[in-house]
Amino acid sequence: MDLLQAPPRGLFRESHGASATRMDMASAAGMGHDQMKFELPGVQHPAEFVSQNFSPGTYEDNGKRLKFSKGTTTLAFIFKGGVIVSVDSRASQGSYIGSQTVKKVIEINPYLLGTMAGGAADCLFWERNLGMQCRMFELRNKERISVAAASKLLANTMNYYKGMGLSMGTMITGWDKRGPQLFYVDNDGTRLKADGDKPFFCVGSGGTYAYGVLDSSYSFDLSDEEAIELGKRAIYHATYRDAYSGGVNNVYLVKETGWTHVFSGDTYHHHDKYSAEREAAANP
Amino acid sequence: MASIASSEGDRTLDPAMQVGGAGVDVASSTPLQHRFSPYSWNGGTVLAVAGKDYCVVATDKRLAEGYSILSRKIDRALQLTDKTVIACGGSHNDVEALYNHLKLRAVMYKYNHEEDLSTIGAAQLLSNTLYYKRFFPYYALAVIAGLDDDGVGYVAGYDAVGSYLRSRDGYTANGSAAAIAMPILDNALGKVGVSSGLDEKPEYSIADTIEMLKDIFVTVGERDILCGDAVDIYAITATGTEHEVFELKAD
Amino acid sequence: MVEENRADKSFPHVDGGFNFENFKRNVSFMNSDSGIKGTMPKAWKTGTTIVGVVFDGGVALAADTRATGNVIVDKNCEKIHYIAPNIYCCGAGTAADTEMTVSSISILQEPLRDTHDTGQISSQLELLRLNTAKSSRVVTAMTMLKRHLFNYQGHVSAALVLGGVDATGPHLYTVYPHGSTDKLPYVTMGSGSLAAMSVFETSYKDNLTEQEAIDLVAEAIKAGIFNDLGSGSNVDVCIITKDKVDMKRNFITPNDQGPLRASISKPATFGYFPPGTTKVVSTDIETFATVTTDVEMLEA
Repeated sequence: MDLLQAPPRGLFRESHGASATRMDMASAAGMGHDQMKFELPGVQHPAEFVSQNFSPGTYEDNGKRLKFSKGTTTLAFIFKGGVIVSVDSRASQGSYIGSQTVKKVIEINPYLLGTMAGGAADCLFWERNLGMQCRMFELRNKERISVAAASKLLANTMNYYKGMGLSMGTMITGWDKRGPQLFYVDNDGTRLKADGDKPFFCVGSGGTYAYGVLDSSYSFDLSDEEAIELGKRAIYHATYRDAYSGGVNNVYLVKETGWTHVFSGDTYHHHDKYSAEREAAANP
Repeated sequence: MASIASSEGDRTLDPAMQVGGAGVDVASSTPLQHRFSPYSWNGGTVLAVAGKDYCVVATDKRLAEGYSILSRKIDRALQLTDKTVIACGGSHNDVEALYNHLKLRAVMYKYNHEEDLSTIGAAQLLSNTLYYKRFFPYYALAVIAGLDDDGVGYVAGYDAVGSYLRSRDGYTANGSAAAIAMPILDNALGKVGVSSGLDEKPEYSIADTIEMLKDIFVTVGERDILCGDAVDIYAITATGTEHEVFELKAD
Repeated sequence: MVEENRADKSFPHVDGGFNFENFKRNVSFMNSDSGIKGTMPKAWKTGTTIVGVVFDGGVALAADTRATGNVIVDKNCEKIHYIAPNIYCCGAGTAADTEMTVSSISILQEPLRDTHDTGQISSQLELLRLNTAKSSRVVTAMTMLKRHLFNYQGHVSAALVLGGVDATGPHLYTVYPHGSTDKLPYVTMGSGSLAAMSVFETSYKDNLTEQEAIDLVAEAIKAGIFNDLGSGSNVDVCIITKDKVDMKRNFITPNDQGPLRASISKPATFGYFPPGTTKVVSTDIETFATVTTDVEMLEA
């Protein structure tokens, strides 16, 4: 059986005249460069086959597919103080909760954050890969990459593997020369910029619930504290309604000086707080 | 649609994997569809618990396919370095192929760097190795266990394509009976979710942890038909790794 | 007309036999690619080892005691079913099918007017004995079972080992889900049948004594218990002779977990669920009114 192989898009960029670099890095990693490829199944239509068999889809209960971790609520919004990124931490494999402590915010570098929704491995791998590409850009150009460019690199990668069953819905956010920036990138190659009067995205199975909260309470002029509170509240309501979201709520705040991890707390405890608040509002 | 792990009984599957050209069935003159099924489901349960200065990983020794027992003494764990053990459930052919690759990479690393691969490094290597087969995955449900650079216990669980995370509360389960074992571990050690409403979770010694894992395996063996025969237990400390085999029921 | 009145269509089960009203719906669920497919309920299987052997003067039946769904759902179930005072039957396959086909405890009571056989075999034999005042014959039970199973073309998933002693001597049959039967001196059925048969092929001889037969069937079941994942736990044995039935429930228990547990010295805090493990979120007490009825006797 001939093993078809797809070249590793974005792993090493030959277009910069660095074929030697690629060889060096490959041998430094302890493997020949011919091994740095994605092996494909030896079938007539690999892309179709792969997307049918190895993509995170609707799960049956009993190990009938390779189960990939998925299921999420993630959100991010721009406000006057920067960008808030707020996420849950549950990874489900079908009806089984694979983990309650997943870090769904991927720290690409001190100025760039990515979020994770869809196939966990796809997000993890390609955002780590994006981190490498961004670092290479810095070394070559002696300045940080813009968020727009970084998100475009990821979107290009997704477009290259389009139809192969990758699953990723991510928000790339950070602060560059143009100020706070937020982009949405997914496995179709879609890339959207957050701007206008509602500069926010919610991604994942609980995203619709989070949108409900953001749509009713968002304002650009929120203080940092208010913005963090809004991020927490939106994730709480999503985890309350969406069975595939839950666990710990992590909140990040992006400023000109880079991102900070401002909050980490169990959504289970949020319930006491928000239900007491609701109770108080109902019985003044 | 087509599904993967192929075997009998509960997991009867029909991997519609059409390979090569279509032959012709002479008798009926209809095209004959060729199929191949590169995965099997051999069971295997892996549990791992990390402590302040130790790590314990346990995995059963039964190799099963459908309703048959292929072996009662298979080794599911790979001692990658003095401080790192990897264990996998899933399709044992893929698990062996994966181990062969990892062993090679660990040796190469040692020759190149004149030191052992760290546990954290091995964890990233395992993730990348699995992801490079993203489009034709290793059917290996892995757990890595060891000591990190500070000598603190490290455990992480993986999905088949390399998504992994160091367990925050220091325990993980993977493979056939993970869904049965995990709630027991959550109750004993978990700090997130409903069980977090409880008092402080006790810190167990390495000896207590080993006994706890034995007890969980006895429990799991009562309900999961793929789990049984015996358990390999690896206890990892700064002074090295101790290996113990604990017999389970054989039915 | 009387017939039509009895067959109230809004309660199809009143008409007797199986109820097929959700059949098409369930088929479309099973064929759909949506999540519902994974949530379809699953019948318990007795992935099983059952055996029987004829000995000098009687029949020995034996079975394991494991029932399997997604996990082991029953560690000590009974697979040797009563058919008649002198006839018993081991069942393999879908647990409900084997029980409902042979069992005397009939939930699915079927009307007597059904001339074709769809009844619960033990109930029908009981009625037959009352009508004829003669003890049941094994061949009668076998014929009723095979007619029932053939009627449903294998959809009633019951594989049976039927044994008993009647006026004509000891008899042992296997009945397959599609309705075919065998009459043999030693038989095995279920997922562990190959393991058990290897024991028979090694050790069977004609004219076994009762004790030899007991030991042989127990050994055959143990082969299934240890080598077939669908079979497990304990060995049940049933000895049927001319005037006696000896049901040896849990004749051998080779899989006691007690010694294993005893060898483990787990920490005291592990596996302990103190009060408050499940947090009480809210409490709501409903007070029910007490209704009393006074009865007054009227004078005649």
